[in-house]
Parts: sequence; C-alpha cells; structure tokens
Amino acid sequence: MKNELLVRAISEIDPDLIEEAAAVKPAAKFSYRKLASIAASFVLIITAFIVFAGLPGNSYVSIYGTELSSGASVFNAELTPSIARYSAEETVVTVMIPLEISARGKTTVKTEDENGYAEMLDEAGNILKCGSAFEITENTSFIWYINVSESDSEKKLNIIRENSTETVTVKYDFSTNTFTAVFSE
Amino acid sequence: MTDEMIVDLYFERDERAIEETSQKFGAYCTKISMNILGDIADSEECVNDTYLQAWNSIPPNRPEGLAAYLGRITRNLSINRYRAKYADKRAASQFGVSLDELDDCIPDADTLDRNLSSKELGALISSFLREQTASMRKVFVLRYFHGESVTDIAIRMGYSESKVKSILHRMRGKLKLRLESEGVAI
Repeated sequence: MKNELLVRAISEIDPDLIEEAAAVKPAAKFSYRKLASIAASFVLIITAFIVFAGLPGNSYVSIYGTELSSGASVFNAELTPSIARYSAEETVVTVMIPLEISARGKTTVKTEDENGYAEMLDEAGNILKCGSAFEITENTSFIWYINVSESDSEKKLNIIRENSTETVTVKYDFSTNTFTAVFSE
Repeated sequence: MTDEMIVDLYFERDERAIEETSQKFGAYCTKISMNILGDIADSEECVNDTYLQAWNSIPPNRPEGLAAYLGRITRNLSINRYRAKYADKRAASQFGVSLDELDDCIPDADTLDRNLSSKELGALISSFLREQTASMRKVFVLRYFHGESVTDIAIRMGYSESKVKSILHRMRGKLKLRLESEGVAI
C-alpha cells in the first residue's frame, strides 16, 4: 500500500504531540436541555420569592386596617391635643395616623417634611424607633404624626426601597376633621 | 497511581503493572483500537496484546509518556490486524477513510529518492507538526494517530465538521509540500 510508510511513521511522532491531542476534552456544548433546567430553576426561585416575599415594588399600606390604593381613602382624624400648637397666624394641629406597612426586604420610611415625626411601636405600644426616617424590614405598625395648618394641610411619607419609592399622601380637612390618604408608586 | 509508579512496577516485574495499566489506560487504548478496527472483540484482543508487549518491552525501555507509548503499541497492533483482516479491501471504518485521506500527503515527484525509515519520517512529521498552531496540530493527531472520526474531533474541539475537514485538508497539503521539499520518497 502506497501510504503504508506514512501510516507507520505517524505512529512514531513525538509522545508529547500524542498526549497533547489525547488531553483535548470535549468542548462545552450549548444544550437546550441545560438551558431549560436553568430556566425552570429560575422560575422556581422567582415563584418562591413572590410567594414568600410578595411582588417587589408593591408594598401593602393600610390605615386603621384599610388598605390604601391610588384612589383617595377618607378617614376620621384623631387629633392629639396635647401637642396641638397655635401660631400667631393660624391653628396648627397634630393628626395621628396609624399606619401598617408590609416591607419587602430592607425598606426606609421617611417623612418628606424634615421635621416630620413617626413612631414605630411594638404590640404593647412601646416605642421601638422614632424620628423623621427609620428602617423597617418586615410588617411594621407605626404612628405617623403630621402637623398641619390651613395653608399647609398636605403631608407626604416616602417608602423607599433599593430601586423604588412609594408615597403615602395625606391631606387634612379642617372643616370635617377628616383626612384623605392616597398611596402611589 | 502516577505513570512513573506504573513504570516502576514494570521494572520490578510486578504483575500489578498490568492491572494498573489496564485501569488507567484501558479505555484510551480500546478507543484507539476501536477507531481502527471498528470491532470490540478484535479491539480487546489488541489491547491485551498491548499489555503483553508493554510487559516485554519495559524494561529495557523507560517511556517518558506512558499513554503515548501504549497508544503507539495499540495503534501498530491494530493496524497489523486491520491489514490482515482486510488484505484485499478496505473496511468502511473511520480508519479506512483516513487511510484514503493520507494518500493526499504522498509527494508527486517520481525523482524523489530520499528513503527514510518510519522512525525518521515520524521525526520529520513531528517537526512539521510543531510548526503548526496547537489546534491544527491536535486535529491532525486526533485524526491520523488516534483515528478519531471527523464528527468526534468536531465535538472535542468545539468546531463544526466542515472546519475540521478544512483544517485536515490544509494540513495534508502542507505536509505533502514539506515532504517534497525534503525530497522524501514514499
């Protein structure tokens, strides 16, 4: 056979060249099955997250146990006379707003007014946190106090998470002693 | 167990050398033989003969690369068996196809008169392969030493089959020119 010498000669090539080629492992192949299993795992994780933590960017906020929505909800106002103040020009009253917020992970509650004030309470009514801003990590009840007057009757509370901010806007009506609350993203 | 330790067993004439060789290189040798013969019974016989030949040749030989050493023995034994079995015709195995391909490497000129032994020609081919890129070299050795199919090489290298064919075609052409420039007669 004409190529016999060549065939035999190839047996005599240097050992390192033979081992170099033998060491080639199959290249990673794109596999639809692998992709499908990764996608299924991803869906499972997202589903579990939604089930246990709720949809991201969608806090549950309630006042007096009533869930707030983008439409206005009207509540009878409960004033705190002890800290009501009177200025020379107009009356300033403090409205007590009991809020419940379901936090989705690390969340900061912050009054838009720098002088705003809120208190986070435990079930026994003890103050756990207070100030114009504090962090919450789970379902939290607290009382937001707003100081309002005729000329400055609207206040806002921001619920801030990593990538989103939601706002609770409250407007006090002096004539009816009620306030409306609106929740917006 | 490292290759050196297995070789030491051969030198100590310890029969565990065969067992360790079989464990570590059995699959490798069987694959080479299967690529050539395409028959598992024949391949197993060749691999057993490989162990026997290794036993008889180590010592005095002390191979640096045991895999290559055993692979070479397996390849030669399998080629012998292939020749005996298919003396009149070529089998439709991968090896038969690769033999046809190697015809492309044979120099045309009739005036070439430098006759080399297979060892010398092997050294020349090694030198030629070292001048190529690593990936081209691997494709060539996988095809013509290990007797792998184009499809298997494509999977191992992560290439398309047409790319592997193209590399092999170019390599054969280059090798032919190299052999002609060296005046080698085949």
